[in-house]
Amino acid sequence: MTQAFRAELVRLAPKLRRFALSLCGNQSDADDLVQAALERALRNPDAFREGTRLDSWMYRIVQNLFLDERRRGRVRGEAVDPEDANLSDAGRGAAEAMDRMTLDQVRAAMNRLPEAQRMTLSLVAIEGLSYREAAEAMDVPLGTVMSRLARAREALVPLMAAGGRRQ
Amino acid sequence: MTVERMDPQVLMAFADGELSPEEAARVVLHLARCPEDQAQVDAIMALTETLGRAHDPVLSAPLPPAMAALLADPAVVVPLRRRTPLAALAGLALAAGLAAVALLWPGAAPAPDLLAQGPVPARSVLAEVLAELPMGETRMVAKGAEAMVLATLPLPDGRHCREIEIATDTGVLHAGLACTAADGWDIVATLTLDPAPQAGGYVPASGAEIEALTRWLDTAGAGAALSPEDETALIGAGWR
Repeated sequence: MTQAFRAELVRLAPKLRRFALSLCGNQSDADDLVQAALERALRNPDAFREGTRLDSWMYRIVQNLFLDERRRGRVRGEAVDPEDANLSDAGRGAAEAMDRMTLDQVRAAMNRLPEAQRMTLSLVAIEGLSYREAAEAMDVPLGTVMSRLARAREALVPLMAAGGRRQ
Repeated sequence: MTVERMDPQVLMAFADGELSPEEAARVVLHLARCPEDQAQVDAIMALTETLGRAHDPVLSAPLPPAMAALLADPAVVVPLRRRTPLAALAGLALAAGLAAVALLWPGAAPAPDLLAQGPVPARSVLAEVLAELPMGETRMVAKGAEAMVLATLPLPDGRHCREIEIATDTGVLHAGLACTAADGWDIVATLTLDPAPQAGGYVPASGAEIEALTRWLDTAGAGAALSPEDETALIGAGWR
């Protein structure tokens, strides 16, 4: 294993922790996820193909482990339909919701998104990946990134719009 | 005057910086005349900003110790404290993992018979230590010689290797890499360090010393060191 590979993982670790936090909604589960992802990468560095982006590869490992853990019910976080969560209803109670919209609640709202939407929104809006990079990290077509992103924002943007409404 | 609303996907792509300069310019002109779409773009950007604020603090937080240890670079120069008292080194050796064993000087003193390359005699003290001693603990293996296992690492073929150190009361350190074999253990690499010349009590690492053991591990495709829990399970299962 090259020193450069290890050094890159050290550089990426904080971003992986942030990504995992946005998926898990709490730092403890997030760090377990990142630890497992780093172990997997260190155990099998040959799986990384030179010439591709290490961050995309690591994001993919984190999200795959996240989905595995979710299937086994070991990571908290409910996949509630945004309709049920009343988040997509801009008219009713949205202004009130914004008043309560602390940063913790942003995380909570994020946590109620279906996993695929949450991962997509996180990669683009938090990790700053381009649509193409996010598509590569999730191994889905570009159009899927855009439609997931649009649905995720349909659920969350009304809260912002209500709070930021100009008089 | 009503302005026709723009495709929401285009507004989103604009807010995400995905549009070409020409497309972006077209959206900017449109937004100047369409407060509704402007509000939509503002809201998307506000959401992005808020999501950032909710998640960014972790970027500047120190890594959890387990993560930092996992990522510890074996080539980083780690000050190695003189072996005595042994207990003082135990913590450091654990924290440094691979690094600590790699620091050993290829010195003049020959490895003792009990840490010679090749198969470890069955039912010998060393075979017992390798099979049973949890990492970080010490056990006397001969008069004036104390052994400690520094780490256990998995090999791709299902075998495991243990990094072991033997300190003698003359201050000489012997280190070896022992791997599970069909019927016991094989010592696959050894190093010896005589810390006496290091008057300061600190032995700096350099690439040459590290290579001897790490090269073997790299070539064998060894994985990251096992957690104490995983190691305990292996000891309990008799390394099967």
